[in-house]
Amino acid sequence: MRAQRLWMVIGIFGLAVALVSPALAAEDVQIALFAMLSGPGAAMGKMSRDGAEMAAEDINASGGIKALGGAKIKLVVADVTSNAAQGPSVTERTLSTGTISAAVGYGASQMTLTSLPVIEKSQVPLVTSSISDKITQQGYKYVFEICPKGSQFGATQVYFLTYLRKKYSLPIKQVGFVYENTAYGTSTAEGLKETAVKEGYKIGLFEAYDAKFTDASPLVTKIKASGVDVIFPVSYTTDAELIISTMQAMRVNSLVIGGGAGFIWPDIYKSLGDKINGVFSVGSWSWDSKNIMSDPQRRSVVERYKKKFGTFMPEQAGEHYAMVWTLKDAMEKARSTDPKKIRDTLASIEITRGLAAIMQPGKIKFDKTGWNLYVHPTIIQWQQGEPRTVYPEEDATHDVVWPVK
Amino acid sequence: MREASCPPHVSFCNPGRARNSCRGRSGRAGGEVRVGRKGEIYTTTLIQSIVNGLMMGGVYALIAVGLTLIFGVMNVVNFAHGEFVMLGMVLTYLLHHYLGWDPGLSILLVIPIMLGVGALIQKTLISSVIGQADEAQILLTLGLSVLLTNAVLLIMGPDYLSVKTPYKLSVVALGPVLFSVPRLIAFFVGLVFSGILWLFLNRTNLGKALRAVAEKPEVATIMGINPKRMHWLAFGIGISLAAGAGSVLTPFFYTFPSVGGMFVLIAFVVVVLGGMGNIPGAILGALVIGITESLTAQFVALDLAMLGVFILFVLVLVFKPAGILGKGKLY
Repeated sequence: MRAQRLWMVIGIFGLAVALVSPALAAEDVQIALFAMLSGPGAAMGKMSRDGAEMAAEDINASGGIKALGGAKIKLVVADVTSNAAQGPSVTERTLSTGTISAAVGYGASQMTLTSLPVIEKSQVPLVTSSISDKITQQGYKYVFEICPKGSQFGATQVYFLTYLRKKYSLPIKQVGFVYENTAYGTSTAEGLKETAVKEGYKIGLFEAYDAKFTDASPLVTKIKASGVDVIFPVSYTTDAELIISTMQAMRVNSLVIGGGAGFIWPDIYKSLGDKINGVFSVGSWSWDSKNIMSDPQRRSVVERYKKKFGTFMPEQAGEHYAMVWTLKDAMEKARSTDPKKIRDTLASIEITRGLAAIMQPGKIKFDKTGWNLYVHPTIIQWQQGEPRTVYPEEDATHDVVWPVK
Repeated sequence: MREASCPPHVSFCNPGRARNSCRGRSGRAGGEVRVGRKGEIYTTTLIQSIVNGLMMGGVYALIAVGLTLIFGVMNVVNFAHGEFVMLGMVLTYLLHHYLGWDPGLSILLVIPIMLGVGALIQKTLISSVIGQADEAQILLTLGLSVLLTNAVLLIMGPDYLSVKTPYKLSVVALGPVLFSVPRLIAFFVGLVFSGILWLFLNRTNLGKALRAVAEKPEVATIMGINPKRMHWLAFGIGISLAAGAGSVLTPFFYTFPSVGGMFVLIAFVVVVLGGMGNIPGAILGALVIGITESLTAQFVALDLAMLGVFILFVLVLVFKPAGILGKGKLY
């Protein structure tokens, strides 16, 4: 009896190994995707996953990683939830298999920051789309920030206003800032204010708000009462929608230059329809910048995305697409799946061609801290239901449109 | 209309015109704003912000009366209450998306559906923890909340969904005070349904039976009332009102799996403030909280809105620990 049971156990284990092993076929390269797939950040996580998966499919369809004999990329998707305290343990668990060559992910800066020590300890390179300045300020060797930094966004927004004012001779004197009161909003708003003062604007309003509010009326009443010509809201999702819709309802006509996030997601158009047209926002990536529209291969990426998902390619998807391709380029050059070699290659690689270069302005190189030194934010304007790149001029494909109301 | 000819701020509809005819408020503000006008603006802002608060209060009321009813009848604190608001929003979204129904129509279907769902949940889940230790109730309702959020995440996806109605951005102006149409509808629906509940509890035999179970379950049982059935009814009504609140929220708020959390905290404050299990207390508490929130945001600081609410809350707890209208009276 005992022997029989022993054989059964061995049999079961054998079967399990046989079932598992095809998934871990030797030639596959495993890239971990850390995404917020549950909780309040899930919408962001889904866009990230859509972009990363599309990149993996494209790479595999075009023959995989040629330097590694056509190895295919296998995305190992890990849900880090939307809770920054959960991030490190999910990261630890995912990387503990020891089969992961590199990672992309996190989206929100809070999630990335708490998980960085685990990444560093595991010595697996991470390419991230998080924007916090702190990510590359702490001396970590295994993190590469492909996107513009948080501190750049505010400056871009204010410089854009100056560009608009000069080009269209707008009588703009007073500007206002409303920002959600967590680390993201406060730090962005401080940067904005500083640049605005430097550029000679009078600050008519500078107010923090709780992003969980359910009524934007008090905020919009303040904007109205302050009489500012231009308002810079730094918001997440529900608050962005409430601010724009309440401004529309209360007929407050201040020019809006939003701080990204909820202002450039497809969902805001679905909610507000044509009322969103004319609104500006800064973004860390936009789907129709010049480096994409001028290259048929890159252009086909955003076109295929639109066909598949029914909306323009949002920034989280575009960035993750570029991030996976960046890792692919690094592995081609390193001719290895060894995480340390991939890291060293990332630190020295300069990408100017191919699909990783859908990241504006069309080239990528990481500086000593791991930050992409070519990248800068773009400004979009909603035109006929889609965000169009209007600034800076080297990326712009559309002129600013003044909607006739 | 004032706005149409020359907006209060620079109009960006046409930069040429902005330059020539509308010189922008900042250009002429100094000369034209007189002291008397300033006072007028202040009064308008005050009235406007009370109106804003009242309108949000109507929605809070609808969410809170359900919560307080469930507590009053069964002594169960429903931590999944916010998720039923979310379910109401999702159902309303689906009815709008697939059948083109207006939320005002959907609510008439959402409420009976959720009444049934509530009775079923009560029968199968909640009934087993009634009379048990508090931890059992907390774990069950919290678990239910996690389950519902993630089930909807799985089925509907994480996107921010919206119900687009023609009146989404419409405004009714009463002098200088503006009423957002979808919020006004939400306010009236909130008050009407809360009022119907109050009438039901006071004027119908079934309602009186429900109150009897809430106050003296043993005596009610002797009088031939089946407390189990009353519990089904209470939970059903409680969550269907929450879902109804969800319905009227959809025209002005995104629908997404974790939306419930944005409304439930305030509903808990309202319930305790008004007196736990006290329905008129919950309605009054909701309106008071709505106004406090709005006034604090307007006149103190936007991000201190909840601070204002909690200061009021602490004051009430100190001076009237049983709540504004006292504990445990459903009527």
